[in-house]
Amino acid sequence: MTVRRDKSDHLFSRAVDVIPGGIYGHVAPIAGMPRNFPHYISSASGCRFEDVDGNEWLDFMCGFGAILHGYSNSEIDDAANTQRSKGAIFNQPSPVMVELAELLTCKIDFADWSVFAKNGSDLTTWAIRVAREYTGRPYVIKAKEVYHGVDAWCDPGFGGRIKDDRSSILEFAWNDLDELHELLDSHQDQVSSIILTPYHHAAFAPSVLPADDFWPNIEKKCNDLGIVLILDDVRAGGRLHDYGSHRYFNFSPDLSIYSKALGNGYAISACVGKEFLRNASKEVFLTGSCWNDAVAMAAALKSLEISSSQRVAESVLTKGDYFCQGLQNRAKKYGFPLCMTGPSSMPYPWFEGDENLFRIQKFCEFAAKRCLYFHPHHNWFISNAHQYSDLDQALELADEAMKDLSEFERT
Amino acid sequence: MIVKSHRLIPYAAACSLEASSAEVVNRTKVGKILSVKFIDEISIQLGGGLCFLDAKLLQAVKNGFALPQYIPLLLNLKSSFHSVCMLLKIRSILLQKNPTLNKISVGLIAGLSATATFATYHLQCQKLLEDEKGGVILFKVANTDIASWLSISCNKICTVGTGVVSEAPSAIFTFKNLAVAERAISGRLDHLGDPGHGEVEISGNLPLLDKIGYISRLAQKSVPSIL
Repeated sequence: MTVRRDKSDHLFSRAVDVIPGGIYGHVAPIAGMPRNFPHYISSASGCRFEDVDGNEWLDFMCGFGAILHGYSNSEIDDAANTQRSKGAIFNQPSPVMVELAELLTCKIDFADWSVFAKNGSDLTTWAIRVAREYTGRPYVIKAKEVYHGVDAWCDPGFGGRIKDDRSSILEFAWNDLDELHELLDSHQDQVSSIILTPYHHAAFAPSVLPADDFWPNIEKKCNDLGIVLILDDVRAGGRLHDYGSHRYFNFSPDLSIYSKALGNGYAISACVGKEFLRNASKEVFLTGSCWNDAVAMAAALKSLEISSSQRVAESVLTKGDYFCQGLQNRAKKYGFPLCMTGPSSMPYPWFEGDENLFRIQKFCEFAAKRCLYFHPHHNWFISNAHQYSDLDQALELADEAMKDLSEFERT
Repeated sequence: MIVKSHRLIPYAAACSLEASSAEVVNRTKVGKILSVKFIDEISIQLGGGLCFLDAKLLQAVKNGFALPQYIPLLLNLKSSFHSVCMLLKIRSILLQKNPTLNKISVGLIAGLSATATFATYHLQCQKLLEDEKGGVILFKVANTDIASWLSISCNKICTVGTGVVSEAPSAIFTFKNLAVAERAISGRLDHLGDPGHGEVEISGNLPLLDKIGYISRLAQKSVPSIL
């Protein structure tokens, strides 16, 4: 099968003239498969998208997690369109903002209040400032190699940084409680917050679940030492539990941030918090040009409603189990030690012994030749629009890709 | 070895010349390798005899000419003459109009050598690599015999070389052709755009490649070049 890419390449040529690098960030071609993935997509529906050259792809990235209920979900689009007909941005917020805040504080067990923005970064950065305001302490502890956004205290790039940007950021290796305790001991009464993702979902590396004693220990330490526990649930939110990934791992954060799946593709993020942080939250200025966007809030309301009524997190986890097991079995057939790491609704594929990633890159290249969108460096995502027939089709195509990989490695 | 921060750029330039000379010798089988040595706090020796003040060395690298220190030159006339010949040879190769095999192989190893020097001695670059476990990045030009590598040891010392790599590469960076490689050695490669166009192909340990790429751009904009 030949995957056409003339229009994609032409657009990219135009782009590099007017946009530095053509496409930047996590969707830059260099971060994925530059000559195998399309550069531009024209439309998407359910779990499939069509690129600008007319190739139809079976997708396992879901807009890098932003799509939970499928692309162009009609219920969500209808809710958004209804609001859009009334307007999106006004001088003041729309009533939908109150409804959304009420829903979040009602459904998320520890939440007493909510605020909204557009991206995860907006609110991870705001959250650590709220913690500093509350505690009066400077330091923030995070896990190494964890993505919390694009701000200078945490971004994964190298440029435009000064030493002070990270002088109050401390890091420990995920699951290494001894290292964390050392940091806490050496910075007594100086740590304002610990910010963590629900499990370790680094890029270019297998996902790591929390050890059994990880979250209980973190939660206790934070309580004992007066440290604010911040959960960055931007990526995982909605895919492990309908009302926050802390429920899946059974702990209670003080602040939690959601974005990606919250609006099912409509740009919105939310931070929810406990009562004791309400006053501090009022002191840390928060606003943005279009942050009161009523359309995205209407979409989020509907998205949450669907998650609840269709028990979507449970559904995508079940579908993920089926898919991950199927893929591992097919890999085994060809002698490849593939392990689908992390929760099954957002698995990271890892070939044992493939530390330099050559094998996963080649496998994803063979998959891409069949218009199967498997990313070699980032965890994949299952949406609720993936039907079992779609998963079966993906497994068949993956089997062919494994066969190609097997022949490639033999030669 | 410690390289003081104010001497890093001239040292990187000198290391580039040393690596370039080694590649010239490798390709032409004649000439002298310009081994680098700090003489004192302000001057660097190239290949025995020929010494430049740091600032003069940078001037020489940028313009193709600068006056060396005359006493060491007079005391080691023959050796200095051979060093000057090699410098002129490198200059003529790098200033070739077309992207010849010699030009690209010499330019590539020069750039990698400056990168390795920054990776080893520049504080910010050291920090970037502190969690790396080492590895080898192989740089190739498709359909040619050009193959250079940059190796990072487990103690974060970077070295460069050409030809066969003793260990399996952690990442491979392939230029589509000599013209693309020429753009790279003259600082005109778009590290985001060109992979998207297929002008370069990358595979393997991308995070390591990403860090080395950043270091190479930092070195390239810091160290003067005749290109």
